Amino acid sequence: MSTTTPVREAPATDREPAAPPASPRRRRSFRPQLRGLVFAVGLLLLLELLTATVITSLYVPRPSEVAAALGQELRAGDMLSGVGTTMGAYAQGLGIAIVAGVLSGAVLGASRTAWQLFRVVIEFLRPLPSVALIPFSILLLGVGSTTTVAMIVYASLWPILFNTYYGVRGVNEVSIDAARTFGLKRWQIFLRIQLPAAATSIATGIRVSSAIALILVITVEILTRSGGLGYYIVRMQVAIRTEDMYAGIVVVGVLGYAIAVLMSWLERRVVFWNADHRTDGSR
Amino acid sequence: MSTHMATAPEQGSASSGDPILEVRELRKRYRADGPLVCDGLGFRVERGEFVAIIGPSGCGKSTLLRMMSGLLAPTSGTVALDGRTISKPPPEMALVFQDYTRSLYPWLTVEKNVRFPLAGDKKMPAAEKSRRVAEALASVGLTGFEGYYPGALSGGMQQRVAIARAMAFQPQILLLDEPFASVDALTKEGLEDTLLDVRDRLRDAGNTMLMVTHDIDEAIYLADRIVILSKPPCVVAEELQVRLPQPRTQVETRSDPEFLRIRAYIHDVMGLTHQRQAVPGQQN
Repeated sequence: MSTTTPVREAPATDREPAAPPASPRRRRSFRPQLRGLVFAVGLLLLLELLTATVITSLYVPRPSEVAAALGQELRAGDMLSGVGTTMGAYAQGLGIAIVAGVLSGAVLGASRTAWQLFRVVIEFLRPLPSVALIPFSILLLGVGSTTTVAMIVYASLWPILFNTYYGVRGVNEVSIDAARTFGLKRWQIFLRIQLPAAATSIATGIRVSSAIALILVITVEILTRSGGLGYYIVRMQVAIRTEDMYAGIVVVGVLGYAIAVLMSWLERRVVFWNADHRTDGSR
Repeated sequence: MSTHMATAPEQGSASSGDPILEVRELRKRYRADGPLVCDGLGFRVERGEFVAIIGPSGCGKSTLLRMMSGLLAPTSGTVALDGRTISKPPPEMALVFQDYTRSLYPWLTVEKNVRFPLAGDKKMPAAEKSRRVAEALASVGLTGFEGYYPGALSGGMQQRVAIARAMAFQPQILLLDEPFASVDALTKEGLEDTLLDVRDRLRDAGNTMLMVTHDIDEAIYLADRIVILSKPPCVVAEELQVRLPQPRTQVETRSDPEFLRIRAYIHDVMGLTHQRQAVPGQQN
């Protein structure tokens, strides 16, 4: 033995305060976004140039004309009321889908019997394109916001339902074991461990559905001519008011973008512990 | 054949008449036609003891731990806590898992995580809960981190939270499943000492610790007694007393001749000592 001097025990290495939770997101660069913006503006300018020189079709208006039409239409109020109708149906449909999807997904996740019972029906209904149900829905519910909302619910239900189901099922065994050793009962474990643990997965489902719902609301409005932005777009197309039609399309795009940004912001706030929502809501 | 057969340290199982945990004739098959994981395993843990269970990898340590904590039913045999056979996780017992990233709840703050096992107790006043949480956090050196979320802490700190959570529960016996296997070597030493500190505080309360590990040095450093498991299907191969002075310190204890003797002996028992061939041309 060569130890001679008494040596103190090594100080614990991890006692210093951890650096405050770094916020890589906040810092994460403005620059790439700026670059993307510059590129988009460049594309617009190119399009403006092309439509002013080479492409002189009535059906391809210049971006500046579309912008002017957009301004005018917004002031006129016709389009805004369309936006109101569309977003109303959108919010109703997505809201119902969230409630129904989370509830049914949770029940299916909690009960093996329920899952075995419903599985075949679900697997049959899920791949059915909701657009294929529009004729049926019109017969049953008539043309109008009820059909629109029903179609949105149908299409956006599945991602939420399945993400809830797999989220609840996929909760790791260790966290459940830990709760069991603390004496929690099965339903307590479900409410206090499985559901919160599934929240990240549920949030992903809602994000996916929020995009699907917008596609559905516009599609149904276009197909059933039942008002809203979709109907506005068809109306302008039939009237060959192409600038106004494009203005409507631009508004749909802006809405979609705003929804994606809002959803990923919400996701970061609500399920903040999820390390892997690096996607900026653009998927 | 080993070059040196270490002289045997004092052997022997718990002898006094106050076992808190008694494992009898434990057998486990996961499937009726499957292999035996444990084959008639039995030992006792005295009140206030720190027992380490070591065994070769894959010998069924985790299975044993899950059976002892009531999370898994044995095929035959019993686990008795304070004389009563357990069939579900008993309230007198708490468990610290190896995988702290999974055992902590990332949506709860450190404070709420530690309070979690107490939350369901309607009889305990809130002030008492807060006091216990504060005390448990202080005992692992995490006062001031109440408002942090586990994701913002280092691995070592997260495992401290897990230990504090188990302590706040004030179990009579604390089971630890390879608690430091997922942290780096330096952090591990810090956590080992934290555990010894916690134990010193609670020794008077008769707090018992039972740790499963594959780390021989850690077992000797921490434990009063070591239970060595055989290769699967596992039985108790040997039980050793660890007569090392308290308080134990990383450098002194680990260089104590007794420490080295026990270490060599365990290596022999577990068949880990192998003779290294001299490499021609090298002199040693």
